[in-house]
Amino acid sequence: MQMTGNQESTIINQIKGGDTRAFSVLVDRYKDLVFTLSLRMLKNREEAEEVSQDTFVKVYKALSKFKGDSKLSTWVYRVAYNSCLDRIKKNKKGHQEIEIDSFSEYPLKTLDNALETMELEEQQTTIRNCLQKLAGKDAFLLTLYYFEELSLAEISQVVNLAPNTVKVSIHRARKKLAGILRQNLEPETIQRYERTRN
Amino acid sequence: MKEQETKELERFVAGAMFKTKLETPSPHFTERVIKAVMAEQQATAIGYRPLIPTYMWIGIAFFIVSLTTYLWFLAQPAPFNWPSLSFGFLENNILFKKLAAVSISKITLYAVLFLAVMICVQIPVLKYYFNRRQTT
Repeated sequence: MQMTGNQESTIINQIKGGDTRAFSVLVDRYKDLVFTLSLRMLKNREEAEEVSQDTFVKVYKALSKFKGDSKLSTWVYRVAYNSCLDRIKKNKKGHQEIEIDSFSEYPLKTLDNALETMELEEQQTTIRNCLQKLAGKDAFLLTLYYFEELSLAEISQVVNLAPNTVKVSIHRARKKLAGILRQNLEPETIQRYERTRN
Repeated sequence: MKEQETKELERFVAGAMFKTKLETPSPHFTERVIKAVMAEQQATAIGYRPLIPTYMWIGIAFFIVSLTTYLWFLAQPAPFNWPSLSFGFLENNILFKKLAAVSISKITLYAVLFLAVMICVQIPVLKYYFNRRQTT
């Protein structure tokens, strides 16, 4: 459920006034997306949950310094992004980026239609597995762009990059995801689709 | 042509992304966050506060420095004349004479000395112990 600016500022004032329970409303509002973003970055549920919890504790502690220059959501996602980067640095294990062969024999249209022939649940699992194989930052950007529908300027505030760089990064991330989907879709699925088309 | 390809890619990825759902953390996530926040709040409430705050130390230092400066430079021309200071008056004091007459056995002397040393050791040990108990 989307929170309006007024509702948000009322809750922020309640929290600043010492009402810890009011904070749970805020946590409930953002926990799913913060957890999804952390999971896409870190690729591990336990770690993602720890980092999400850490994110909200940091948000609570720094809320008194929140001036409202940016949207609260943008600020929360920035805290989450930085916490994930800290965790990755601590782990010292970067996600192994896989080479994507963008010159696939199957055109995008075929891939799209082949995906459509699968059951919805199967489609979801395939896409989720492919997102898991995508580099953390790319998966983070795509999730933020499509789920929260933030503008490029807002995303640039979250990841501390210029809007143009974000635009290019999202385009590359799209290409990589399509490449991973090409590699991961069972050849039989595509062949089955091609047979039905002919 | 390239623009067409880009649009097709955008449409394809948007379609794929919207098919996935947001992941949800474990059921008691919010409760755990609130618990962590409350623990954090409590830790700040009983955080270490020195007995004498910094501004008091600054005040004391300022007082000593200004008093010394006043006595040394401003209260001229009668500064302390250290060599002429005499403690001869103590020799005539009855209490001092009685104290000087008291003789203590060597064992008592060593026992008192040992007690003093033990107290000096115990103070840092106890301070360390209470500090640790407060932080954990």
